[in-house]
Amino acid sequence: MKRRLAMRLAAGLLVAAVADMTAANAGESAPAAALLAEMCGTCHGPDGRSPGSIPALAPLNDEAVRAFLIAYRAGDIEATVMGRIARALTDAEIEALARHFGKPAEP
Amino acid sequence: MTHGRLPTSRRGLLKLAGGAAVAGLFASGTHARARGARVVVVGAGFGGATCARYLRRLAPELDVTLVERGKRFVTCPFSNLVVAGLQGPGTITHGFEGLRREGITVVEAEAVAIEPDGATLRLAGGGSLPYERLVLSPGIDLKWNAIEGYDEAAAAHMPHAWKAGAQTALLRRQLEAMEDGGLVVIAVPESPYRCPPGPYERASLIADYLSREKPRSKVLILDAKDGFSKQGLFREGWDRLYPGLVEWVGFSGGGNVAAVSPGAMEVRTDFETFRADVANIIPPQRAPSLVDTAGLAAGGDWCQVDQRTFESAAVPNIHLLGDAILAGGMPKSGFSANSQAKVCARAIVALLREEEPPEPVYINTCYSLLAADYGISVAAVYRLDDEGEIAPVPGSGGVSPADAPLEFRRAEAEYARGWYASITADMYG
Repeated sequence: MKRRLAMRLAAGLLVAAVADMTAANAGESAPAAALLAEMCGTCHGPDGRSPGSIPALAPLNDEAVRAFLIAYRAGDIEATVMGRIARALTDAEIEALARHFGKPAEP
Repeated sequence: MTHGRLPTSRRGLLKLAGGAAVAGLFASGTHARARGARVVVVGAGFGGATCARYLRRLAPELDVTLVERGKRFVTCPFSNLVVAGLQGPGTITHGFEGLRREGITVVEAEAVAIEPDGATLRLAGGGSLPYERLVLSPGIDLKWNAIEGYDEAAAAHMPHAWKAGAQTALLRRQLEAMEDGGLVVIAVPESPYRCPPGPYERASLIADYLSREKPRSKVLILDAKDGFSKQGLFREGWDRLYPGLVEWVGFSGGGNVAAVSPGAMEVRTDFETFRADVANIIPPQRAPSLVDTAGLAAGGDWCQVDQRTFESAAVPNIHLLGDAILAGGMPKSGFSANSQAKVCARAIVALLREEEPPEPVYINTCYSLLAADYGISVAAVYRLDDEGEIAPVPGSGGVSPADAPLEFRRAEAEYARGWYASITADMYG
């Protein structure tokens, strides 16, 4: 189970590299990362600090946020509601959220 | 769509320049900054509390006043669990200490009239509050007598429980007092109304209580429409959890409730009369009459807004949120109001700073519980379309899968509770 998730995350990272390249093409009409992140807070808690059963985003590093969002969007990990939501996100938005929530991964 | 944005903001500036609260927006001294533009927010629910908090977060120089008629706010979300006896009323009741701690002035008063010309909100008892920007998140009014015989007095016998608090407790007491074998009737109005899946969640959770305590009883839903939110999932759940206990009659089946007689506990559809042991009448709704004091509903039931800024389409410098407005594809839900409030707070700060409001994005997820461990959901992410309407992002969103295993339903029930913990922390700190 753990290994499968790790593999999927690894696959996500590859896609993330592509997303990174397209992030530069974000149009001017994209919502600001801060507003997008506020939308996440309704379920994941203010500033990603969840007081209840929904996973907190605050402890994640940027690679994990990016990989999870890409995997949810692709349907590569099982989800209740997150897959339906992630499918609305552009590559640039995923990148913006990864940078907003994620602490840089340790080298 | 961009209704008066620039002129509006210029008018706002003129008022600022002329008003007493000239203050800090463009000044740099700390004294001046402490007296920023005054934003008055009405309603400490999902739209209002969120907007007040995010305004302070985004622009600490703003003077934010939140007007709420009660000492505490009781949420409609999760009130069906209280109706079913699965949790106590204290779990859905929230005070405002957290809001006060963040520098928001909370005024316990009823807002009774808006005077756009003087940019003033009038309060019951004679007080008034001037504003540079007014935000109204006033919820709903029930349309008394839209169902013949259903007025405020009738609601003391046949609760609507569509505003949480005393009505929630009344419905709970009536269910507790009902004999086994009783008939619970739930009347549901046409769309749009507050919380589209709410009546069916209520039917489910009442069925949960009855199946545990009074298993010979029945829940009859009399509906003014022919389909409802998450219908397939609700019906699947009723078959799985409460076979034969919940009956739904749609409009075409004669489900439209035309009249009630509270004395006789009778509920009359266009074709039949039912004698109920407990009658939960959810009447048609509209924006509260407060909005009419400034013509914000323009003679209709709901308020139109610029869906980028939530500024009224009728009156400048007044923003509206939540159940009282038409918001494109967004349903009337607490989650929607919370999402709108965040977009609105950013727009207000931008407008006061004479900047362009940011590109919006909006989200909604409505969880419904059919039992304590059985949840379903509908979710959507929205953007502004070319006509300036809030529209769901194609290819995303939707409802929980049909015929999912019980662990899936259990997980969604758990996340529903997690959502409640998160959103109320988002609103009240």
